[in-house]
Amino acid sequence: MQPPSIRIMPVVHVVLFLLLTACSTLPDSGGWGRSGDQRAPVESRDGRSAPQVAAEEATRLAQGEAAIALTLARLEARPEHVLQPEQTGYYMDVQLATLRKRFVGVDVTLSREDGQLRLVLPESATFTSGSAELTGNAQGMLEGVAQVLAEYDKTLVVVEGHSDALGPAGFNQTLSEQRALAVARSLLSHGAVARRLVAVGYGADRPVASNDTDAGRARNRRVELLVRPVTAT
Amino acid sequence: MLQRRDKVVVVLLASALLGVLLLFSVLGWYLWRESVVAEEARLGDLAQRLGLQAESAIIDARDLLQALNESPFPRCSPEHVSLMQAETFARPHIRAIGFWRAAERLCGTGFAEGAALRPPQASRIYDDGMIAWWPGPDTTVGGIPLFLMRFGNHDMAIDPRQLLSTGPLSNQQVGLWVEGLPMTRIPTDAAVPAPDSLRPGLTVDRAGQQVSARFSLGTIFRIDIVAMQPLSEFWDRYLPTLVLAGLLGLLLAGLWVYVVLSFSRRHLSLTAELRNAIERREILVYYQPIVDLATGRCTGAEALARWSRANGDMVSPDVFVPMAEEAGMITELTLAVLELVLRDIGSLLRAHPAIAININLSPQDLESKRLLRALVSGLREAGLPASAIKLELTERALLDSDLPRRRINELRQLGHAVAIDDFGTGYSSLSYLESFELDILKIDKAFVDTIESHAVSSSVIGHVIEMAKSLQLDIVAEGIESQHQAAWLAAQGVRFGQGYHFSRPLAAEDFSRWLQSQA
Repeated sequence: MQPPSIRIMPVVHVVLFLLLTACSTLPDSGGWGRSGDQRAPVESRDGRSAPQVAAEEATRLAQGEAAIALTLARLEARPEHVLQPEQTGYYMDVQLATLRKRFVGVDVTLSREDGQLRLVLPESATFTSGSAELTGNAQGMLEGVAQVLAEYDKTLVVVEGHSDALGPAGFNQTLSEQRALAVARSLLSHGAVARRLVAVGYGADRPVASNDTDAGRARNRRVELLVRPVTAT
Repeated sequence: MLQRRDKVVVVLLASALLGVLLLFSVLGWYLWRESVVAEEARLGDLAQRLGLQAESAIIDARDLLQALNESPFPRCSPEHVSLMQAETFARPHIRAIGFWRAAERLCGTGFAEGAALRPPQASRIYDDGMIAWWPGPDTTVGGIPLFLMRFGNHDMAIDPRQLLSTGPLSNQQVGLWVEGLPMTRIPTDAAVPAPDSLRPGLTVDRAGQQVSARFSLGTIFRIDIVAMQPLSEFWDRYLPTLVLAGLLGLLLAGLWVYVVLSFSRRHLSLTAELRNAIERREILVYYQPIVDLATGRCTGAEALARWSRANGDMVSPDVFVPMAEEAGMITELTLAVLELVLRDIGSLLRAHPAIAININLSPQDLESKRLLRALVSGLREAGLPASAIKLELTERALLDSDLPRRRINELRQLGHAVAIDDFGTGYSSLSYLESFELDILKIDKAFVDTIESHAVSSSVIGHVIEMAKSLQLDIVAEGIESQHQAAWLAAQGVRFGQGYHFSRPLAAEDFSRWLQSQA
């Protein structure tokens, strides 16, 4: 069975990687300025055949992974961002505890998976419905996250935007990208270092609940922060 | 005779033994229970004290970390470091306090410069951001596994042994579990079982020679204390009590045996003494006159056996008559009384043919013909007619209807009058009595006592008299103590009476004298 997203809206199924380091406003802009170039063909793929779309899809996914890998490699090259392996467990435990201390009673899900931390910010706690505009509450919350990230600076943070599967896939894709970007920008504005951030829009590709119910769709509309330790190899 | 005596001895000894066994088992059970309860309470108090202490130390640690996070001093300034130092020194269980930035210990107390504990795996990360590492290899400093807590940017290393430091824990092994995870044990190499493997309270493991106690607290988080001590300790502690109690038990048992034996000896020797007294005719016979209520004239007397022991003690007939019956020598007693009556007042009876003496018979007396033969031969030797001796039977003697009926007939054929003693107190029905050939009914003193000093009297005695009259027998009222009673009974048609109102039981000479004075 094919992934539903391809069947519904083959053209605008896009995985966009925004390397915020590419922004001209940031000092550490690197070769990823090219990623902006890749946006143009993405938005004009109408009329292409399904195999072509799938191929581009695979390419973009690979590019996404590559973007994360490259950012990680760059961080690993800077000793001030690198953890000793034997300290990683302690580092991530304490970081999780510090985030929990920040988010007592707040609608944010914090969990550990494979030595990484995952923060799930549901749409309801972050954005006004259907837009990529952060609420005041979300700004405050992200300021707290940024402070923790500033203290625990030996990590890579992937900001993932996700949408539900209702409506045009292109719209969902764009919204998820814009939301990821909004969160990343907010973190930057609160002092996060750009070279540690990667923003990714996944559209409806990675649901965490069924899209058949309101409650499930509400859970799918979210931004996730994946905090990965940068460990010396 | 000897068989009966042996049986008594065996029964007595068995009861003595049973008493001793019972005493010991009850005492043993009670002491064991008391010991266990006392031990449980002792270990329980200890465990609760330790548990509360550990709990309050952990709560205090959290509050302290919070206070340090909120302290206004610039981080790692001299004020900040001395505050951490003051708090460290204020608590014996705190080994170190540190201020951290992420995984970098920037300043603090306790550990050597640059040293820090960074265990790779937290035991608990609480929702409020508190994080804890239970004592283990990763938290060990200088051979001591430490309990580590971090809240915000401050952490604290606690020596868990100090959470259990409660003075002398001689010979005991104690373990502390918090939230089901082992915190510490004393001594450090103690083989204390996990709390989940023990039931709450005290467990005595005889195979392992251990007493273990588990106590749990759950106010803030679950705290389990497991305390163990060798069984020998338990015995050492309670052995003096058990020995003392054992001695006390022995003393009590000895006392019990002494009581049983002395009672049996007294009883047995009393029986033997009674036998001697009967054989040697040391029984005394007293005579209580029976008078005609209408005329006041004496018509006879009831012969009553009295026994005065060699040491001068009077033994009541209520004691020695049942004793003689039990020992199977009541007939000896009856024959002795008969013999003494004929010997003591034979001449008096010959001089007063209207006087008859009543002799009490026991049911056993009717079983053989010895009494009959003794009566015949005795009276013949004394030259007295059979009418001189009347025989009193209790209603109880008539229960076995066959033999008594035959004997009564034989006695009456010889010419003796037969009286039923204690009429009305027994269980014979009127019609049953009617089936016997009897001459006299004696109304029990208990009924006579109910005759009040006033004219109105109990209906019970009236009824008893009516019953007696319906049998058309002579009636003798026993236990008359007043003129009023005598007059009332006479008015009711009772012909004869006996009692203190007329005379107390008299010795032979006194009876003789009393009789002369009547004439």
